[in-house]
Amino acid sequence: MKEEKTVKELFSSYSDDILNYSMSLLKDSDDAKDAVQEVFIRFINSQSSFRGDCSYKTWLLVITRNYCYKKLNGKTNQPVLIDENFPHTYEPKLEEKITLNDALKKLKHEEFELIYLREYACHSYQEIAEILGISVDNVKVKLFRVREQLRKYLK
Amino acid sequence: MKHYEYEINLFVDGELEKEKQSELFEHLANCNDCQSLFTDTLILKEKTRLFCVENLNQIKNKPKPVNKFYKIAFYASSAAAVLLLFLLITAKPKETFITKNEVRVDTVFVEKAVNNEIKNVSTLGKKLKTINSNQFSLVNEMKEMKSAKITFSDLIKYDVGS
Repeated sequence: MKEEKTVKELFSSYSDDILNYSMSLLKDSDDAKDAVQEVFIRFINSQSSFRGDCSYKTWLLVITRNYCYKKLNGKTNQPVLIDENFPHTYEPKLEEKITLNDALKKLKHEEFELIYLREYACHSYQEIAEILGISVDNVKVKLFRVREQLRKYLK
Repeated sequence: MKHYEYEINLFVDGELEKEKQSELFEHLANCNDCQSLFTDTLILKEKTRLFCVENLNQIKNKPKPVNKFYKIAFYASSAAAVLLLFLLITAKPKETFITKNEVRVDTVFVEKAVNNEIKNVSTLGKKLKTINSNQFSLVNEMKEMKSAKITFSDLIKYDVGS
């Protein structure tokens, strides 16, 4: 009975976070809603293996991340079509026009995830490290590099 | 001179230790490059945050693609409806020949049925009326009994006391 209540509480307090996180990764609201359900099913199934090293929120987000990446990998296996006829002469001009938003859209999943977790979800470095399964120093360096990359497009 | 790009990045996120903060501020006071870098990083942080908000809103409000099957079904059904309407308007009613005899039989049958119905209704009405009047009188009697009070004179009348 107690377990059920905790799951209910967790759902009411963290389902939005999970929805937004999965939406930022999957870029689709329906898929994200499916992800929330799937994450909680997985959470209930794996509740016994939760050791309490991190907070429930982080644990749920780790599950979310694993689920989303599994789903994304299924999609990204499709071959990417490259337009060979793209006129090369336009490239420098296009590069001039690239705004920060365009640059953000072209970021890899891993890079955008970092930005999202830091700027939108406002997680601390420690939490980000736990979610991504890397060290805090690694988070610092990665975030620094992404920002350095983005700063070029600021002006 | 050493630049503090990395430290600025940490400070903006509130993750720089206090000891290093004073070091950073001392440097910022003297270094114009790092000052502009600092403002750039702040702007970048805010812009990326706004992008995230906008991006999520876009994904949330993205219109769902209409299923092709429903589209085709919609057009097909509307075409069928138009065709049906056209046929209904243009089609002439088929001429039917009914013999007089047939018509007579039908009218007789209908008349009989109607008469039966009327009879049924009237008999049923009569029954109901009698029941109602019976019940009504019974109720009235009961009411009288309830309201009647037995007085002393009644007792004398019926010789109950003695």
